[in-house]
Amino acid sequence: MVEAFASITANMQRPVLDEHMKVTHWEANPASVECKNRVIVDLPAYCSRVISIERAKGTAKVAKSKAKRDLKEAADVQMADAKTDDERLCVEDIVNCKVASAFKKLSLSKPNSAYAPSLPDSGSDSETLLLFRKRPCQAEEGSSEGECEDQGEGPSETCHGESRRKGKRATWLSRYLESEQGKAEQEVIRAAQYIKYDNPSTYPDSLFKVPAPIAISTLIMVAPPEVRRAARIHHEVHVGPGVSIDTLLNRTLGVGLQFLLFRKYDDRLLMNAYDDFCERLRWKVYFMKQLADKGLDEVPREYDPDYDLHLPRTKEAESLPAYVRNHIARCKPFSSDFRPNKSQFGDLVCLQAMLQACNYIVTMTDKNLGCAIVTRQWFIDGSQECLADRNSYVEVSPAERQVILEETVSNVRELADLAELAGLSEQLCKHLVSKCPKDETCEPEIPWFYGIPKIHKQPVKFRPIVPCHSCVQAPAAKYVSKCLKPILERCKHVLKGTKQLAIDLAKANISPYWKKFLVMGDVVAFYPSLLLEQTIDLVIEIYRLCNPNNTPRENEVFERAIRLANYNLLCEFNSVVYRQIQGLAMGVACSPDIANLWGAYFEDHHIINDAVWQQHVPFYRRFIDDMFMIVYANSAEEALCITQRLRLDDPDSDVIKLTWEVSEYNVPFLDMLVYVHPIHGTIEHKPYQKKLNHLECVPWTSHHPKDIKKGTFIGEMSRFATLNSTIHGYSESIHELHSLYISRGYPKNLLDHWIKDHFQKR
Amino acid sequence: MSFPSFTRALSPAAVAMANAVTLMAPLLSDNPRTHSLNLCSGLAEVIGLLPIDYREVLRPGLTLLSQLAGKYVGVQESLHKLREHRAKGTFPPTLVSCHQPEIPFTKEFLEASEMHPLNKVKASFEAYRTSQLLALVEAIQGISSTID
Repeated sequence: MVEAFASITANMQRPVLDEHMKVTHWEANPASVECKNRVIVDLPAYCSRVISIERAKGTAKVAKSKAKRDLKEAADVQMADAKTDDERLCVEDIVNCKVASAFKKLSLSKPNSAYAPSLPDSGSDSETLLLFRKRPCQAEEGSSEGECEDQGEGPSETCHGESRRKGKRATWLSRYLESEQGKAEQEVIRAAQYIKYDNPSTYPDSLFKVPAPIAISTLIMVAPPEVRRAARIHHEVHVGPGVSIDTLLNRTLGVGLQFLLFRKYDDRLLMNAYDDFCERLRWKVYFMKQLADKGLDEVPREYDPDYDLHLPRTKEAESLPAYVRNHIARCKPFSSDFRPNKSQFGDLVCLQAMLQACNYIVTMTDKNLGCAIVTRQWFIDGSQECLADRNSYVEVSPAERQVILEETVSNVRELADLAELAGLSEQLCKHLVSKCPKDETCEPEIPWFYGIPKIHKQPVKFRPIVPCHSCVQAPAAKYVSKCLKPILERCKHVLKGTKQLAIDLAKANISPYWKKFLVMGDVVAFYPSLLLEQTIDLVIEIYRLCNPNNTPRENEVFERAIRLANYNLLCEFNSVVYRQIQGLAMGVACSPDIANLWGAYFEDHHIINDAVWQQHVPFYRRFIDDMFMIVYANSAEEALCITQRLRLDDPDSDVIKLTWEVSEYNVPFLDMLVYVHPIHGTIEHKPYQKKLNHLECVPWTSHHPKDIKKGTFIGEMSRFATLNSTIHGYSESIHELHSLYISRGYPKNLLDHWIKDHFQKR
Repeated sequence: MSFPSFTRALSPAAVAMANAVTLMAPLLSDNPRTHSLNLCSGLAEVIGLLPIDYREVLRPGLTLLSQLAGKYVGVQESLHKLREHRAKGTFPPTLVSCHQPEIPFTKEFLEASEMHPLNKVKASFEAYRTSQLLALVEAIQGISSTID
């Protein structure tokens, strides 16, 4: 190489001229020498760049291969939910495909083929994919047609109306095909014939350019029918390390069964319920009669069901009029005839025996991903790992434990006395001390700490849970929660659930023409990150501001209650008592409200003062630690810059860390997938199901009464009605639900009957 | 692995280059000529940045370097995968495709014997696969350390 360099320099010599302009000799050209020197100096940089390019290629290859595997896993989950494994649907698809290809061969347009355009270079297989993709759009068309019909066109279509609709279809189709997503989808269609479902390396890269739900649906579409059928029994129960169980039991638990163990039916329960109903009715009639005598319309509400003490009844109501008694008596024979259906499930015996023999336990998993079988030791180790965090928990000696408990009980009693002095209801005063032991020598209950495994994360960690429902501070926490609820209702950015999000999205004024991005945010470890003293001070301040008419004593009751509910929280695990020293505890009734109020204070402050935010963020909502917003921006980076302006703490403290995820197409939020309609640019939503979710539902073989089974099914229908923004999405979800329940053993006719009765009502 | 050891693995000439890169890093960071290198996404683009007289001279060397670097990345990836299998207790496809030999036994013989006669075969087969996996890891580690 040195020689080659020397040769280049030698070839680039410059002539030296004398005074007669004759060449006397040749000398080295300084420019070429400098060039050579530069190359020599820069050569290491060139080499290192070549190496780093190769390394980057390797990294990209690994990342791409992982993304493809993840896509397959997601498709596996969706397929295994029995959502796509409907024989009838498969047959229809095959018929559609064959008919389309036959028409194409004959150069004819397919009759009634609103969604089967002839694409360049697309074969018959490709059309299948396109058919699949166009179904939602067909529904959109259908819905718009429906709207036209409502507007008076009527179901009898005229030629003019039909041609106009065809023109409309052609317009949106051409717009769609020209869009970025449309182009990507065409690439997928072309590459579809080379996809082998079991081999993710054969998946085309263009799959990543289309939205994830479409990519998954495409994969399921190209999967062989036998794979789709086999997917029904594909799920295996989540298992912890070192667990090995029988295949049958694995599948039994893996399909997400929720068992109700067989018990001998106790007829007395039913008769007791009947007697209770009669008693309540008598009291109701008694109070109504009293109100009528006094000329009042409504009962003065002194009773609060949230503070119910579950005391036994000591009095009996007056007897009812004879005609009411007769009617009630006629109900009795019906109830005594009632017999729930009986079924058997023998595997439970095996399961119980196996769990005991191997020292395994069945535990729920985080994010409601179904049950998992883990070894007892692993569960204990995981829970103790949470407690080993010295910033959050400290071990408490028996003497300290006694002092803390005595102090807490004494504080609770003082709080009840103060509440009485403040003129709060007698029921509340009694409720506050309801968890204090009657006998002063007895200790109050200490919550049992446990962890639930986060199986969706690697390595698996545990979420700490302190169930404080029965501890001595629980009534105080309940009172605080009830006090904060009305304040939170006034915070328009705080969500109660996905139903409210769906309603708010429907009402939101979001331009379909502006370029927008969907952003999902998450607060990292919200509860443990909050500084307790600072948080409680802020909440007390807000409470006082929002209740200006409260007496000082009422404010003091609230202040004491909130401190009592959140300080000195004890929990027990493996016979050792711990005290939580940092953050809010998961399991205390008022923790979500306090965290919500903290977040609401800072976000409201930010939104009011930030002009850029007001201009670019037309929609923002938060559900405790999950945030969702729509941002008008030209690029994902710009959207991210705008969202990162939001803080949920003081700029100086930096205690709350937020993570953001930006997408141009869709983001999952809670149990909903919010997406931008590729054609219309509107915001739509559909149900979202997390990876690893086993979709647990009551199996037909369970010992639940039939009414409960029906109730769960119809409840799911209601959920889908809320989560879907389009009628097509709803009907598709119901179809999937139907398939899921069939795979759980429900009779098809019964499901059809339930759907027929309730489809419209939901 | 540090950058010098990586380049040393590729060729003796690269050792000098690597040292030069390390030593001259402050100089190169200020060199405007090398800034455009950061925008290159392929070998052809890197060669395109060289002065035209030196392109053909340096092309074979840089191509070889690129090929060796690609191979090195591939080896590292294979090693990573095998180590992952070893840690998880699974086997790579090449070992999964090996099957345990099976022969039919009569029912009477199976009933008479206390344990399944193929248990020993199964155990030795599992041991074989595990040892093969370890040998594969060692072999690739050997390649990797030779390159190092």
